[in-house]
Parts: sequence; C-alpha cells; structure tokens
Amino acid sequence: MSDQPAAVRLTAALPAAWRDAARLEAHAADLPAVARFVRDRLGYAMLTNLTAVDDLARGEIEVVYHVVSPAGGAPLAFRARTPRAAARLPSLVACWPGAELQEREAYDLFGVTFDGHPDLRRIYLWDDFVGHPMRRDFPRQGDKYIAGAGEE
Amino acid sequence: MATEAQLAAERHGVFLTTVTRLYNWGRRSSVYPLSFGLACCAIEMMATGMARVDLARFGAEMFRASPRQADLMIVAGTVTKKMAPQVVRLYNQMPEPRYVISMGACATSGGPFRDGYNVLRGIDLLIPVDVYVPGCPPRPEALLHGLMTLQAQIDAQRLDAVRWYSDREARDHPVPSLGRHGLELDGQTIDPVGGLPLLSPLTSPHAEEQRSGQLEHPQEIRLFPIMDDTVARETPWRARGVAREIAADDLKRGGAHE
Ligand code: SF4
Repeated sequence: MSDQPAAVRLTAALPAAWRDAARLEAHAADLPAVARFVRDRLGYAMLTNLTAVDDLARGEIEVVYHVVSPAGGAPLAFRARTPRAAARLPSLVACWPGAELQEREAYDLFGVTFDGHPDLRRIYLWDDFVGHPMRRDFPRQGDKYIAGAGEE
Repeated sequence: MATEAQLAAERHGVFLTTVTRLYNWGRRSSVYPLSFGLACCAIEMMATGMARVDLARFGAEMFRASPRQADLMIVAGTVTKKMAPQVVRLYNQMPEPRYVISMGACATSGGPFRDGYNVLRGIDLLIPVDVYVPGCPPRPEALLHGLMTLQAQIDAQRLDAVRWYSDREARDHPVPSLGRHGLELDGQTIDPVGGLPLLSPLTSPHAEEQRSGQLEHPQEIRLFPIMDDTVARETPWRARGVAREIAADDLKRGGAHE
C-alpha cells in the first residue's frame, strides 16, 4: 500500500500503542499519543473524516480516523475500538480542532463518549432524544423489517 | 334557452357567468406557490418554473417568498423530523383558501428514507394534502399535471359549500414537537424514530380535513422494545430490533463472527 512508509514509521515509533498493529488499531488509552505522533512527526495536519462502525457481533464500536497531509502524499487511516456497552474514547479535539463536530456526530448517532471534548452535545438529533439510531441494534421496525416477520 | 339569451347578450358585448365560475377562474389562474424546497425534488420544482416547461402558462409562476402571499404549498422533498414543525407553521401562516401538493415519494410517505431514523413518514400526517405527485423525483411534467389536477379541483368547488367562505373558522394545525422518541403531538408520540407512524393521515380539505382513521399495519405498530414487551418475547435478535441479515452476516464482511 502506498501509505506503507508512514504506517511503518508509526508502528515502529510507538510499538506498545497497538492492539492490532497490522490494521493500525491503537489501544484507546494510547490514542492521543498516536495522534500527536501522526500530526507532528508524520505531518498529517488535517483530520478529514472521523467515522464509527458498529461491530455488533463482537460487541465493539470501531472509530476510524482518516488524516491527510497538506504537503501531499497518501492519506492515512488509523482506528480504535471500544466496547459498545460503555463506548468511551479520548477526544482528539486538542490535536485536530476539526474533530469537534465529527466527534459530536459519532456521539449523537453511535453513542461514543469522547473524554475531553469541549462541548459534547448532540449535533443532528434534538437534545431530548433518547438512543443512538445508527447503532445496529437500534430498533428498526419499519415496513422492510415487517416483511419477514412471519419467518424465523 | 338560457344559452340563447346568453349568446344574444354576448353579441351586444355583455358576458354572463356565475359568480362561482368567475371566482374559481380567478383562483385557478393565479395559484401562487410558496417558494421553498426541501431536497432533491425542489430541483425539479425549479425546473418546472423555468422556461422549458414554464409554470407561468398556468398562472402559477409567482413563487412567493412569504406564506402570507401564497396559495399553494408544494412540499418538494424530504421532510425531516426536525423540519416538520416549521412546515406546519408555514402552512398555518398561509391565508385560506390554501392548497398543498405533496411532491415526490419523500413528502408523500418518507420515500427511500421511510425506514430511516430522521424522516417524517408522510406530510399528510400533519397537514391535509390536495394532490399527491408520485415519483423520485417526479419529472416537471408530472408536477405540471399535479397543478392541472389541482386546478380541476378548484374548478369543481362551489362558493356556497367551501369552508372558507362560510362562518366555520379555519383552525390551525397543531405543530408537532420533538420528544424523547420522535415527533410528538400533544405529548403523544406520533412518528417514532425507528418504527411506523402511529397516526392516520389527514384527508384533503374537500373531505373536511378529517383523519382517515386508518393506520398503516395496525397489527404491527410497535414502539421500542423498552416501551413494548411484545417485542421482547420474540427471538433475541428481533427483540433488539436487528434484521436477520445483519445478525447473520455483519457488514457483509464474508462470514459471521458468531
Ligand atoms: S422523492 Fe426522491 S427526489 Fe424527491 S426528495 Fe425524496 S429522494 Fe429526493
């Protein structure tokens, strides 16, 4: 892969930070250190995308961070996992201010709490709403799901 | 006989008609829409106003910036739950007689987003609709046909029968609020986030704006498992609201993790 050099430098510099170094999956506690290294030493000054994946079968939520370097070069993605029952990760707003709105989005729709976020509120749904609709076990009982109701 | 007298009068430059027809002719020829669009359908609505299909031929090209000056609300696009209170408020601000065209699948039923968490499942849950235009998006010709259908409906109205010239007062439609589980009217959840509408749609003004009383899938109406334990008695995955394909093959990664 074209981002191999950056990924290799990253895993070599912080050998203890990884839960799964092959897919750049960091321990939650080491996320700020990884982010600082990625930004300051590897030059990835911009966080373009922060997404979450609900891995229902493993009971974990994976948050994926996509970063690019304004100087050019391949983008990089690293990730961290957190149990869905108590989803909690350190916030990276201090590192990339652009993470603020995106962490609020992940909090709103997936229910991941970002420790250290300056203003963790819902962003799309209204404040009174209960639940996190992008989680895969969020009740979905629309027409599509009714069709198979007699089976199983 | 009456026709002959009419023709004779017309030869002398006197034109006879009924008050109702004159009124309806005036109203049908100047149906000013409210200029607001909500999603992709609005692009087709704009195309309808442009030169090629030219809404102006039907007297409806005057998109008004204020609901006080508008006769017609074209609900063009996806009405999100957060937008729904504003749409009802705009409708309440329009002077009578007022008409609503529900343009596209989204405005009519929630469309492709019906099973999503964020979209109102049909604007007729909140305000009465005169003409539904199907499509995703409907072509400008379809919207034009919707307008012509509306004009035919206006032509058929009788001044002594319509509500807005009688002494029965117009009522404001209640504005929904955003509650814990979805849209609420008077503290009752009517369109939950995840689920089905719990309210029957309104009929058009010609039918006196009643609720039709017909829920969709009444036997299947359920709220969240935390609110309704009949769901919890089913299989565990279903109890958690997970579709089978999701439980069996997480994210189509090529194998279940279980
Ligand atoms: S009906 Fe289709 S085109 Fe119209 S707003 Fe909905 S998604 Fe967009």
